[in-house]
Amino acid sequence: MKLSKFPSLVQKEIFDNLKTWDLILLSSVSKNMKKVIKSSQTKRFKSIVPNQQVKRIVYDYGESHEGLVYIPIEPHFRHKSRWWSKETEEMSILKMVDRQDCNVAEKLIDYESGYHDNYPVVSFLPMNKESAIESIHNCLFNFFGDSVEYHWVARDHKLVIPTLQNLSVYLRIESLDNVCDTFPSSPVLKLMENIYDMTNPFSPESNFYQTESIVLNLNNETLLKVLRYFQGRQAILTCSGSFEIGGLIEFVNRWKSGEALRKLEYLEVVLRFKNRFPKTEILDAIGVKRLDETKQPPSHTVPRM
Amino acid sequence: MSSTEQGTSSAAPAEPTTAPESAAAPEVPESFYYVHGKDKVVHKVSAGALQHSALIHGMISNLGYTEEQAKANPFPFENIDGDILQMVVDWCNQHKGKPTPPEDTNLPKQKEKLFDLVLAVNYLEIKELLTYCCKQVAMMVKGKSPEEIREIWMIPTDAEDEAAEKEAKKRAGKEAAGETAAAAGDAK
Repeated sequence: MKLSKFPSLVQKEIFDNLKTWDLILLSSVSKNMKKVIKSSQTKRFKSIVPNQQVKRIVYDYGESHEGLVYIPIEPHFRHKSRWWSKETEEMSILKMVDRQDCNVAEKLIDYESGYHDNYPVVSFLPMNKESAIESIHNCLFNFFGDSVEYHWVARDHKLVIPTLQNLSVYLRIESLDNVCDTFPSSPVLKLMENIYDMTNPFSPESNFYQTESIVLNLNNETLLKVLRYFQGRQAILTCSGSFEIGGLIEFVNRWKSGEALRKLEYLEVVLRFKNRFPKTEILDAIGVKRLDETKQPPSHTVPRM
Repeated sequence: MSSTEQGTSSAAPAEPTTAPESAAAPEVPESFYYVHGKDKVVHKVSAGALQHSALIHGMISNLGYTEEQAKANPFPFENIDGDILQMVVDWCNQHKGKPTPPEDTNLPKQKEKLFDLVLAVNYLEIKELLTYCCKQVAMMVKGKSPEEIREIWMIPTDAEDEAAEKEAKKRAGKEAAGETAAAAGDAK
């Protein structure tokens, strides 16, 4: 059966009946095939994430021997989100399973591992995990190129993070304490989140401070350190204990003066439980000007996130 | 030309012998048409069954044949193998006047038969059957590796595509040169 002998409308109908992953595999077979699929399935790939500015493909490999590849619907950093921001809506592409009894013989990946919730499952031997994931990534990269971002979600800092083309890493972890010693020094993280308060600050030279976006639970000491050394773009910081406003004032003044934190676009500091946020003191200390409400306030534009 | 009337004898539902008591209007006799494929075997098919095919339905509407004329002039589909046309006729008869189910499990499993059926159904414009066939073709590569997909659907490699493209260009160049020479000869 020669697929190319079918009229293009028939080919399109056949492609419409394939899952996204099957189309991606098919497009890896030849350049011509990729061209045909891209032109006939434009609508499908455009509608995947219609409202999202930056399209992402996420590899989420937990502590178990299973991982998911999916396209999340929501942006990775949500304002006002102080909770564990697991993506709730997503379009699954593939499930990956590494298992000893994998029936692969000479193949790197067993593509015939069935379906889970209507999306394909592939499996591979644990010893081949890195190569298998690289092969899967190459297929996705071959198809989407750099039109999307590729994010690896690390939920356990002891697990190996593969080195793949254009891959950014999210660290979503319960506790950040002692992570420095075991987590690979590169690459620079895209997002870092924790659940339990961080009690041991990173060293000032740590490249964790270069993380693009952070959503962290901290105590007073670690909050001050983060405010002092953070070099990324966005931060939501929740402090559990009593809070020294001096650190925040110093931070804002450095930010305002332009001597540091040039990349910072968004900062949210939240005081948990009964801690009173000393708003007036802080506003006075950082020299916020009071406006005459009868006059037109000056306008200011911030970069879109 | 040999002539059989397989369409009505094998798969078409039996016609009621008596009209239902409740029916007020007299039953209109069903009209039949005739089609043949590459093997010239003629199939008698009811107009109701042929409604599935947009192509044949259009031909019937345009020609306005009487039953006698239709019998004398079967629709010729020389590009469709006899056994494939038989499958199509059977399917049309089985689904005559019925809503089509979400799946059809009676499609051929052999690759080449399915391939020919897809081309025939596409040509005859039988939308529902084409949908089933395309689903079945898509199923063939589910859970397969890229190499297996290449083999099943006979997809050329990049090198083969490039070679074919070069060959086509070469041929086109030769043809163009031939036409120019012929035109020059004519001018003399």
